[in-house]
Amino acid sequence: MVNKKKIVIIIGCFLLILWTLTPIYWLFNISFMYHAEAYTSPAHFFPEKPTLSNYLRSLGFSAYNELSGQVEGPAGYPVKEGLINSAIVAIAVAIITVIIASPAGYVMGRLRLPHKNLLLLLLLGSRTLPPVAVLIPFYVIGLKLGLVGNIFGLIIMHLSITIPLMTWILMGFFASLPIEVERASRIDGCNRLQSLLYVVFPMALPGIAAIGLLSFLISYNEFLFAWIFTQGTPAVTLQPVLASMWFMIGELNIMAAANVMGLIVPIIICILFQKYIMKLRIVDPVSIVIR
Amino acid sequence: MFTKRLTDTQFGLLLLLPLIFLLFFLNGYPLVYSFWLSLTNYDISRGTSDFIGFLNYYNLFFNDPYFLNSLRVTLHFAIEATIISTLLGLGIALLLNENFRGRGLIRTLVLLPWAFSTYAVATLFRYFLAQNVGFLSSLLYSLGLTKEMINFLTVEHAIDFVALAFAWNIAPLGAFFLLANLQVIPEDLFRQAKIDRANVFQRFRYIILPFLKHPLIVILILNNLFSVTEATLILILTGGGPGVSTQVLSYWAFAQSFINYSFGYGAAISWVLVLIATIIGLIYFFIVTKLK
Amino acid sequence: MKKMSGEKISRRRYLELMAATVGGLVIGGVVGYSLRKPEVIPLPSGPIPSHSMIMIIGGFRPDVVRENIAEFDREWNIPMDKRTEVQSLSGDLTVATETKLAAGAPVDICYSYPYATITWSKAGWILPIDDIKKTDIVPYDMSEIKGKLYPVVVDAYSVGGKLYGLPYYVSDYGCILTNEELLAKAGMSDDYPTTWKELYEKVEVLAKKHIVDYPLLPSWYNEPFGIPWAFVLEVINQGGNEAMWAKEYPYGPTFDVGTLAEEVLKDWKNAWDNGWVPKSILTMKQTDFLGEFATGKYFYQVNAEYYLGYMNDPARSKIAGKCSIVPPKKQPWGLLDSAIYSLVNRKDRKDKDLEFAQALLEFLGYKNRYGQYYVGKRWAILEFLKTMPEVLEDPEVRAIWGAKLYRVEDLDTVNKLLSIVQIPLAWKAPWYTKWNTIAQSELPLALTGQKSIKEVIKTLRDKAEELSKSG
Repeated sequence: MVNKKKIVIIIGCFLLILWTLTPIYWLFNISFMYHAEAYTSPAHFFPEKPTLSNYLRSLGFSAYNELSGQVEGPAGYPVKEGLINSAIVAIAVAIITVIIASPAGYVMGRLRLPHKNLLLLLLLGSRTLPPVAVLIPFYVIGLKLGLVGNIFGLIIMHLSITIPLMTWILMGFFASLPIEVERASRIDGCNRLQSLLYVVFPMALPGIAAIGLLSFLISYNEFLFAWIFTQGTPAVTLQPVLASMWFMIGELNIMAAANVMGLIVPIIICILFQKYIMKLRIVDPVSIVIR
Repeated sequence: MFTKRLTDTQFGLLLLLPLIFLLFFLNGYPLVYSFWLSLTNYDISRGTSDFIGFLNYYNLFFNDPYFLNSLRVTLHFAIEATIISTLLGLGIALLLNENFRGRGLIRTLVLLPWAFSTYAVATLFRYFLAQNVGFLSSLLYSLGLTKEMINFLTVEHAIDFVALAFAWNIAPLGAFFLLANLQVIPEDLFRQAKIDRANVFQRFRYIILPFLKHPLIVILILNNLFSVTEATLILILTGGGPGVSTQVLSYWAFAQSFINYSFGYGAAISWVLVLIATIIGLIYFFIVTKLK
Repeated sequence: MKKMSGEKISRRRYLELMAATVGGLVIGGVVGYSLRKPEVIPLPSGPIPSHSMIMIIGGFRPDVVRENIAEFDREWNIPMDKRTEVQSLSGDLTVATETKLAAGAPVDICYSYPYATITWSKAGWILPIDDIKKTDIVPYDMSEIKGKLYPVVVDAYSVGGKLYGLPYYVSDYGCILTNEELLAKAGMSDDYPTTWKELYEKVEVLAKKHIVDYPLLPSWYNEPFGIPWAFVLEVINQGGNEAMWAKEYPYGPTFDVGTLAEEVLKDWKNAWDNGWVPKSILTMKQTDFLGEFATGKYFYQVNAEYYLGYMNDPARSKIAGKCSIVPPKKQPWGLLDSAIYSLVNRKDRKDKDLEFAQALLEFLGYKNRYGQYYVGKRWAILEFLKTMPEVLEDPEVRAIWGAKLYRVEDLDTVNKLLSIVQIPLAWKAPWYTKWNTIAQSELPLALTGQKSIKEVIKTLRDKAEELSKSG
């Protein structure tokens, strides 16, 4: 029995790695090639003339090109600014979302509220409209409130996406937590707020960590609003920068290099967060009261 | 101050205040505005902006030769993409729920596709699937499995590959959410199953599924929502082509608004999209709740 | 030659030597000093704009544009806080620019295209430039400039007799680029087609030799300037503008089932069915399209002539030094692909701001204040883009490109192409863009067989009719 299971697991992992990594390997591959080599038919699976020039050039340095024997200047795209701005915006969005969506999710999941269903419908409904339809009103609002071209406007826009979504996700999560633990803590003398902070939230840490991570990623990867609100300004985030690389004479290799660099921050956040997603702690209320 | 007894309702409302504020202001206004837009023929290039009632919708359903095609393609894409993503997510979650060496590393790896924006995924896959310079066709050709370089994005199958790219990007989301829920299942249930000599399928049906029912609904509806409203992936990967074979409604709404400047018409298409997304979501909801 | 010790150098000789050395140094210093780059002598109480000027551009070489602008700021000694700003927009440039103009965002210079020029001039967002006069800030009179432009530019960008900008680039889209290495292999060097029909005949011959998978890479890719332009230009090259559009505004359609337009689509379907073109062309974007030809696996590509620069660049192409271009013999090739710098009607201008904006326009589209084709030459050298006929005659430009291209005579071929290039009449009508978008989704259907050729032509004609009538 055990052997069979082990084999299934190994095959499963192998397939999973293949599925996940092949496109990513391809991205890495191109990012280390010169442009002329990237367009070879059939394609090269490994760079014949590997180079760091794409990375250097996207960060604003010049690099020597072996194929043409010339030094190529910096790629002229604000990749550095994009990387930093994206990281700042995404982290802010993640933190604020967690702060607002956690209690909101708790309320929706736990407490009996009149008109709860109506609010639930509103929550879901507000997200079905494709971003395309709301772009113009948002741009107009943004211009009038001075939100265009700076980081705050974008953070607010992203919050409008993440908070309803995360509240809805957390709702189910909180509802599935054992209510006895909570009740026990109330009996032991916690008031509602203390129960929430010291008992419920620690128990729900995996879910909360999950939505923190999700919010970060949604914000970091968001393209449409970032493009409308920050493109062409110093507050530009990474996705519009990548888009502008593509739209004219797409410099595929530079874009691949920029993409790879853009993966660094999400990977770090993922590594940090996924630890919390896995550790499930059922908190013993008694030990909390004795402080 | 907080020790004063608040009723359940009042406490709940207090916590919900910021949410309600955000909801109404940020989502309500554009919703109302775009609905109003859909009732006009606002068109920048023609300079029109008159109220025309439901004429846009009428034209859409009865006069537009592309509508039926877009509808078909949207349904094809949404259903295929949702099911593949969800099943993939479920499979990954079940696999990662098992204890084995290197689990942490694999977990981090699996999360990677979700760290790509749809935009990056589209660019990556368009090059990955390219006929002459792409990885996949080059691999098959070099291994001698095919005699010529294959074109994957054909009229019949382009949409399937778009669905695959979408699933590649989004499956980790479902996987991790389901995994978090799997971890909540008490250990003794599994121990009991072992004693009772339950096989894999019985374990899945009687222990895991009840715990996963609600999260599965969440993920199905989320994936559905994302796939129906996805326009960027189509825009970059196939541009609606070849011809109109991947022209989903969301992409079409975008094209009408920002390429044709017909914002009113584009808004109308968006609202039809909302209707479709809601209907499909409700269908999933009922199917899964009926699964006993 | 040093004399060995023992020879005494007399004092006089020594002094002579010293004088000669010092004299030589002084003369050398004076000559060197006078040959240095002209210093910018700041105007002692010179005017500066009251705010930063703003130029919006697309995604093409923003680095080059920024360097050009930096030179302008240097020439005028514009202080740090008033430096001209360059904003690079992504996505469809016309749409993005129009969004900004419509929202009243502060802009001084933007790029404009024939169809956009009409809409934007009517909306009052861009200003006519015919009356620009020389002042102490504006270096040149517009009357001097207008005579030096390519005539087709004046034709394409005038609305109601008024010109609305100066050329950013003038090029011919729809020429035939060749892979001379492959052609030599097939024994067809110098055997160029002279008409579109001949091109297909030669492609058929080449296909039978089975040297590569696909002999032809046509301009059928999925961009607004891809497959729709390919169709229009192939028709008007063979039948003139009258084969597509009426002579007068609003330039309604003259093509129909049973005319040259249907012939062209039949030629296309023939090429498609025979497997002379890669079927993935329909989903390609411009980058893929360029990269494909650069792999060196095609004989011919239908593209813009300025991509000769790209295809002959060893950093980007495998056929560097081997890509040439087919000269026009019996018919012109391609259509006018160009853009201009337009002067935007910015609302918050004060004092001399308008003149500075006009000076910037002239700097970009003509000469800098020292009489050099600064921007024009840079674009020609860096990206093989042409602006004015005089730039292509510059010896420096000819030397540099003569070395990179397959042969220096290709420069003359390009000049010839540009002198007879046509602009589709309907581009001057505002309804064209919508029709172009429809054509972009309709035309592929004829190729894939999802619709018959007659149906597609009929749809295109009906739509053109409908759109041109409603204006």
